[in-house]
Amino acid sequence: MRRKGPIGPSGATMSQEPLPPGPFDELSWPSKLTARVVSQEDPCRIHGYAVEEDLARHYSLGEVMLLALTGRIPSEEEGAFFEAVLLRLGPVTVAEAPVHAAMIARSAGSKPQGTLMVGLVGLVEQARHLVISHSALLEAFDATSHGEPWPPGFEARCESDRAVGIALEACWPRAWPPAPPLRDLRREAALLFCLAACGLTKDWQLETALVAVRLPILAAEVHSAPLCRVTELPLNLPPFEYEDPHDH
Amino acid sequence: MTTDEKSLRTNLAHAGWRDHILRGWSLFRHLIGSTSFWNLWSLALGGPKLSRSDELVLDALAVSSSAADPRLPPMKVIRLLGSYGGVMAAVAGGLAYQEEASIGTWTAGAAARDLADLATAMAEVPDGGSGPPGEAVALVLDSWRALGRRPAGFGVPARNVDERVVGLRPCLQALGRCEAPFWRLAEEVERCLTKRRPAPLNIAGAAAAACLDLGFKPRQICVLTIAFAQHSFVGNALEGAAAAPEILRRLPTSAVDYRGPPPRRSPRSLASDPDAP
Repeated sequence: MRRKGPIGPSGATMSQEPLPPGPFDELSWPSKLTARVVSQEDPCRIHGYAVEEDLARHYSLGEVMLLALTGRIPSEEEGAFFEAVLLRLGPVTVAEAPVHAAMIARSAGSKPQGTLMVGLVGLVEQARHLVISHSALLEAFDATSHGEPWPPGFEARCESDRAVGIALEACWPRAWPPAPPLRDLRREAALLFCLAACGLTKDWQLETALVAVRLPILAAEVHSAPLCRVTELPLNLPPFEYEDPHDH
Repeated sequence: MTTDEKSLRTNLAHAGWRDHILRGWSLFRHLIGSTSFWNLWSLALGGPKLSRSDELVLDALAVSSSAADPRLPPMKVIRLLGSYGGVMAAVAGGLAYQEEASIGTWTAGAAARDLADLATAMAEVPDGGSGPPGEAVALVLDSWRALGRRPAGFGVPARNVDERVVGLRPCLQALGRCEAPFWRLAEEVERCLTKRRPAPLNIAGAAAAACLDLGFKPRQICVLTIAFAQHSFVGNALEGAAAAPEILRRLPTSAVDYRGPPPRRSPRSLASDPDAP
């Protein structure tokens, strides 16, 4: 490669000498990417299972998601349990930052992809925050699965928390060891614990499942509203109060 | 909700009908015509007021840390995301992965935190100031090493020195910044670390030291360094999105090695048709 421009930004004339060699010229770099989940040869496979001939015929979307995230093909009972948990984690409301932010983007004239990207970033951050705030519970997964008490801070707060826990205990797969007392946990804690029980024990697995189930709901909420002017949005909700830093 | 309970405090800015306020200053009465781009950044971050010479330091850092080659991370990320023709999505992707990443603009913030911690720890070394130069640094680094902690901002892959620091140093020298406390500390750390194995000051460490000497705090440096890289981000996004090369959207099958599980059949597929291939 040779330099093309004769004049540099400072006005100095640049010589036409060859480019100085660099790491991409002199080091040896791998020439291929490595895939470990999806093989793109025909037929396309996920973790070795053919999409068209096998997964599409015999498995639901939720079950394939669980397969993708864990590498393990679920039983019918496990698949149904995973979907029951995901379904309860899906609703994300306009009061929550990801939808709220995507709404503002849309009203500011963003194209659908821009709105979706804003929502997606928000969902990823929301999922990360949720997982981090339950790290003590998730770290105690093995102990609590074997009868140890729940770590403090995740107790059920109301009857609707208990109702969710009872419903999850009822659909807990029979092939697994008995369900722990999920009714004693608050709703989100019980649901995250159940995802971990499905094999999603790493942060990236939990966050991916949360984002995947919430994105369609976010998009629907954002695009269901008629387009409005920015001045018709509650931009001062919650109110901000400016304090002059020089006053301190 | 009552205002007292729920209102959010901001020291950053206020929008008016005829003027806007930034950190207590009026855009049109105080700032316009007298405020440089770097001082605007510093105001936004709550950083120090910068002299003209300080701004030249930031200019030098921006030039020396420029790494716009589209093959380098995060530029490669930007090129891949820009291959569908969108500019801002590509820039956003380049920014999105930076937080706490080990390659990218955030590393200067991590290096700044380590240099600031080191300075604090050195002040607590008994008689740390009375020994030969570097003794306190060596003592603190030894204690860090015992804990498995290694200061960020030192070491470069595949070469002996960071050419960006080599290019930056004379410029900082000309601006009288190589005698500033954090720059001297960074050079002392380099000397100490290099006694065990080569660990040259890299551009993240250099930017950290120079920005700490300007009066920025580590958390501010994490994001100030985004400003140093923005030209590379937008240049790659703009050129990449305009070209929108198909080869980046999807590499040929021959460019991928599959090393996952071999072809297999699921239990349900086997149950439904045991004899199928």
